[in-house]
Amino acid sequence: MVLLLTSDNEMFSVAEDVIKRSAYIKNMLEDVGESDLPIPLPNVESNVLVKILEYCEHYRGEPLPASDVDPAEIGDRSLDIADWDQKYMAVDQEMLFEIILAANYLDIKSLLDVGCKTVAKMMKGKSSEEIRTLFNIANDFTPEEEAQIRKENAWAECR
Amino acid sequence: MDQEANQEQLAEKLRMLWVAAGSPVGTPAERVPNELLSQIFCEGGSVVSTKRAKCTSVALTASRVCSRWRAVAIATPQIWTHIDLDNMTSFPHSTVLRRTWRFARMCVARTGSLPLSFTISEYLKSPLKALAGMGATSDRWASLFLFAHTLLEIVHDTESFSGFPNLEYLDVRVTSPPIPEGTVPFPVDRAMLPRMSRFNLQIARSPTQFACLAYMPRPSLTHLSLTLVNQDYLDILGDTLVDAHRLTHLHIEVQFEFEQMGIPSPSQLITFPSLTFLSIVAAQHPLWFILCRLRVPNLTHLRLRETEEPSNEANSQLTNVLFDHFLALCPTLEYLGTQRLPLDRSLALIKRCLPERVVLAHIFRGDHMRNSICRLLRRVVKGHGEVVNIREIVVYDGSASGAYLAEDLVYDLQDIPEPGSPTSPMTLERLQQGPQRMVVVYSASPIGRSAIECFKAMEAMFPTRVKLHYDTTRDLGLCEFPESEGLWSTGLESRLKTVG
Repeated sequence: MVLLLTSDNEMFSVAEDVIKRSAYIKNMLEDVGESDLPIPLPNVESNVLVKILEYCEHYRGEPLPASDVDPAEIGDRSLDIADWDQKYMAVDQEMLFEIILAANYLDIKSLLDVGCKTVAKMMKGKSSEEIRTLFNIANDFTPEEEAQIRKENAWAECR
Repeated sequence: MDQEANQEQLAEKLRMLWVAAGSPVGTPAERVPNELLSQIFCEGGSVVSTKRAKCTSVALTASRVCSRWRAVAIATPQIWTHIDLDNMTSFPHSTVLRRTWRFARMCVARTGSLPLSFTISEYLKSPLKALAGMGATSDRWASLFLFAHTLLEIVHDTESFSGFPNLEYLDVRVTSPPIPEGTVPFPVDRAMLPRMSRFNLQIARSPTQFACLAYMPRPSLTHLSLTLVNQDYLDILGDTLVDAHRLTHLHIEVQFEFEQMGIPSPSQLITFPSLTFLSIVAAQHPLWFILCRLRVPNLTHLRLRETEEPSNEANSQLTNVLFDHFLALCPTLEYLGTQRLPLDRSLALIKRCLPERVVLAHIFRGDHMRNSICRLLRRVVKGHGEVVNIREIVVYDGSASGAYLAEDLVYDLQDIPEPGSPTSPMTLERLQQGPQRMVVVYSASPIGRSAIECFKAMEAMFPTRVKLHYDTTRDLGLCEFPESEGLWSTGLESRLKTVG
């Protein structure tokens, strides 16, 4: 078993084959070897870790995903998300982004991909104004940027 | 007031510092660091188009949300690389051109040095000079979708053309008139295609369009879709494609009547050594005649669609002879899809070709047809006899009889034993241990609630390795042989995937 200590000081005891989906923890265990000391996770709160462990538990025993995709890869990446992953990601926006941040920190590539796809899917077909509303983002463009955007709008079909 | 303004400024500055430090301040979206934001943008697709509906990339909208998103979007080259230059018909031509090139320049400037993909609309004549001038030289192109005359203009532009050393995907459509007078064929020596993995050529019905085949780099051709309007074109096709050694996918649509023709002589055979996927849309007689004329030793996927009933008795007899001839020679297949073929012929093909995946589309009118289908599906579920290879079978009925078929199937499969039932342990064992099988019934007409309930109950009853599915849909993308990408798919994989 591996001990994990979250940022809000909660201790979790997790089976090694479950948490090894995190490349960060896997590498750490390989470097440090067997130890009774907990691994501190200063960037992950307990409620987020519970969610992360739910994902790792679900995919326990399944092979780890292949290496990174070539950034110059040709062709559109599919926004298809497996049924279970969709249900798993049906959380509030705060938690969705927390999962993405934790997956990034813990280096769980497949979870990070699902998180990013989920956000991309939320953006799909929406105008910039709708995206601002959706994610509560302020329009902070400078007048110069606004002018440039107006020009760009004219080059493509009005959107 | 000044103090208040200063405090606000200070608060904003602190907030930005917290955001930069990745601390839990700001909205969730604001806390996502730039590299993750860039990854999110990349998930959405990469087509940027002058037409809003064709954009799959979030590049344009993301760059208009806020300053940070704009900076990240502009600094993420992957989301700008598929550039679709389509006509904006609502503007005068000169305005359209000016705007299109500005749009292209903006996108290209944001792609860094990544390979580029272009979709070039017919209205852009000789686009290479302008594109090369903004840094999109032809040696950067990885994927190209355009019209035949534009392609020929590009490769004959001696001033700007720098070859296609990185071109992997070429999709060419032939329109009328296909090529300007005096054009010479594609210079294969000068315009080498060393990395070409897929070259799709689509030719519609006119003879002048067919002639365009002679101007194309046939040795690189992998996918060809064409319509035959005259019997002679079958001969021309064989002669013209004699050097198309890489052709793997062929779709032929026949729009003329054949005279009575029997089994072709050996000298009439047209050989396609690399062909794996063959799709034919024709009336009964030409369908089987063409199949008898083609020699396709490596065929694995066959899709056949009959367009009309046989016109006369003599033709019908001849068709039987041709069918028997083809059946005797037909190789083992991975996939067989038939639409409107007489059911006995489809079943004979299944028996002969032992496919792993089958799609049968028909109007299954009458008890006899439905009983035959039910018997077939029952054997598939049980893994019996000549259908033992079938892993996926889809039965599609676009009429009211689809509902009857689904209901018949429900009642026909009811006596297959439940898991744990002691009545037939051998059968159950085979069901549980055999490979996964998927049986899908699509009907355009709604079925009764009780049958749906039975269907659901059966899905739960069968071992997990057997999937049954019922759905109502009008368009499967299977039967219409769309001109685009979907033509070469077997039509239902994505639906089967979601069903699974």
